[in-house]
Amino acid sequence: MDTNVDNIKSQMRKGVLEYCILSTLRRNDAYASALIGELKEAQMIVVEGTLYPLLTRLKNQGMLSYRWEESPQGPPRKYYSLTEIGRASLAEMDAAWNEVVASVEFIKNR
Amino acid sequence: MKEVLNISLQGISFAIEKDAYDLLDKYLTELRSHYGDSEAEVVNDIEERIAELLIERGCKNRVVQYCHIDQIISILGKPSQIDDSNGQSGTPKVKKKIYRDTQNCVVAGVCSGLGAYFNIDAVWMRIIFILVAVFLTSPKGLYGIHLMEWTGFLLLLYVILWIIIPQAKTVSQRCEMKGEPQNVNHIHKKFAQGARDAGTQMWEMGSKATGTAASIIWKVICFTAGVILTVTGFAGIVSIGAGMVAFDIATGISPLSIIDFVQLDMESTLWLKISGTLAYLLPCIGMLYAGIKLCFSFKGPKWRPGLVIFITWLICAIIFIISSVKAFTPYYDFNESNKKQLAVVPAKDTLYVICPKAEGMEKAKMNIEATRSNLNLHYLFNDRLMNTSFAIYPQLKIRRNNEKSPHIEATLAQFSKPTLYDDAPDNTPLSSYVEVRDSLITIKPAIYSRENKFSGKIQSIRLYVPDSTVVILQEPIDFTFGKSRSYRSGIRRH
Repeated sequence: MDTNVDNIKSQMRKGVLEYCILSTLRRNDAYASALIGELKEAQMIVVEGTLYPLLTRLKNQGMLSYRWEESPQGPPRKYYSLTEIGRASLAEMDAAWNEVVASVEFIKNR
Repeated sequence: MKEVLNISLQGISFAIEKDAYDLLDKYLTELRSHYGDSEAEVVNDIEERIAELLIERGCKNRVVQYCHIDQIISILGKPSQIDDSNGQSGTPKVKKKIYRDTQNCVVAGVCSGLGAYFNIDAVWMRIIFILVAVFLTSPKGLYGIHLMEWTGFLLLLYVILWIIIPQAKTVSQRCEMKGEPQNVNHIHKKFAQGARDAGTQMWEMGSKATGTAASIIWKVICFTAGVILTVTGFAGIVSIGAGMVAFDIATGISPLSIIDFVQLDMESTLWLKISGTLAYLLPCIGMLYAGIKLCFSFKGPKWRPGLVIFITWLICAIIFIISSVKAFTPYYDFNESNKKQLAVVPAKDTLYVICPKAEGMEKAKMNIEATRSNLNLHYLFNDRLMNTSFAIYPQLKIRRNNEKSPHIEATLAQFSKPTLYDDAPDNTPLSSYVEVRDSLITIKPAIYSRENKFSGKIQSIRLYVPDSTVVILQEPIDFTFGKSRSYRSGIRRH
């Protein structure tokens, strides 16, 4: 029973993870590790590894870009930011999210 | 006490214990194989994160240990937890089918495909194949079947497998071949490999083999095979070339031209000669080419000479067989019509035999084979204009019996279709090749040239004499039948 629910929970999270990443970058640019920190704080991800393939995919789709910045601890790190396409997509996803939430609430409250 | 290795994660160096290294290596390899070339960045990013986490744990100044890596893996997530965004928890296992792997092939991908199905490295499959071929061909033979048959059988098996096992062309087929779940990632990987040339591939297949033992054995086999092929091919070409030249010098006529002196059912013998020569030479050239390629492992040029040589040879062989079958059709009706003619021989104590050369041909070299009771003669003559003639004397056999009176029995055997000769056998007068005058028997040759070709008539003479009669050959050599030792002249000058 529990694993079934866990599965569904995990599926739900996976569905919105990209949206969350874009959303986090809405106001500020950030390093990968900072993104991880925020998402963990929001209990959105359990394992960090899930982030990296998504970041790469979003970058390949043109929604994110990065620049290299020096870091005190060693080699330069990637500093992610939203592109114009990213911002546009984000706006659309905001609308989509609102729709989905409305639908679910509607069904839930019947 | 543990062994320590030095590694670099995205440019940052760490000292790491062996067991921790193994765990980390396994983790990264799994990730790398999951993400194809287009997403290689992901693994690099993960490596960077691992470095960060290790530094946080103070591993800049301490050796990385198993517990660190273990922790980090649980933080980052096991590969199965780092799912694709389409969120399938495990793609279904694809049933494995046998295909030929033509992207990793040497000849036709048979061994590669079989290897992929049985999860054995293709190189080992090839080695097994060859070793089986070699070991089954021990001198005693296996079950009484010997070398050529087993090699032939294996070759045939290979060709059969080549034909019946389909080629893995589409990506889904390639996935089925290896039993991997079909995935968008694989498409990129597969097409990136591209087709390779046989020579370099054989060499490289060896070096890519899992395990240096396989690759070394494979390279040795390649090289040895290459040497054998080169030597054989070269020897074949040289020997036939030298043989023809030697024949020409010794007899004054090229061996190929001999065909011109035989009456054939074919106007021009050119096709026969060319296709015959090529049918012999091309395999030698092919072996030479293949051998050199194997020894020095270089890529063949784009027009694939190996294939060209093989196809040309096939065509030549077919032409040769068809032309020779057609050309020699008159000789299949072995209609040995033996016509016997008799001539009387005087009863004398001594009989003399001479075999003069035909007019104008006195300078020719005579080839003689004389034994106790047989005499075979022939010679070759080139006139000033380099027209060649063959003179063949009827074979003389001496039979001794005391019952009948001495006589000559001349037999004409005809083993070709009647259409080839103008005169019927009975029309050939005995006197045209044998004359008896007193105690002198003269034997004359039948002369064949390009105009007057050999048409299947063979004459032989039996001389029946009593035991006591002595038969002496006077011309071209002195020889007493039954007394002198056998004489044979090779192709040499008198």
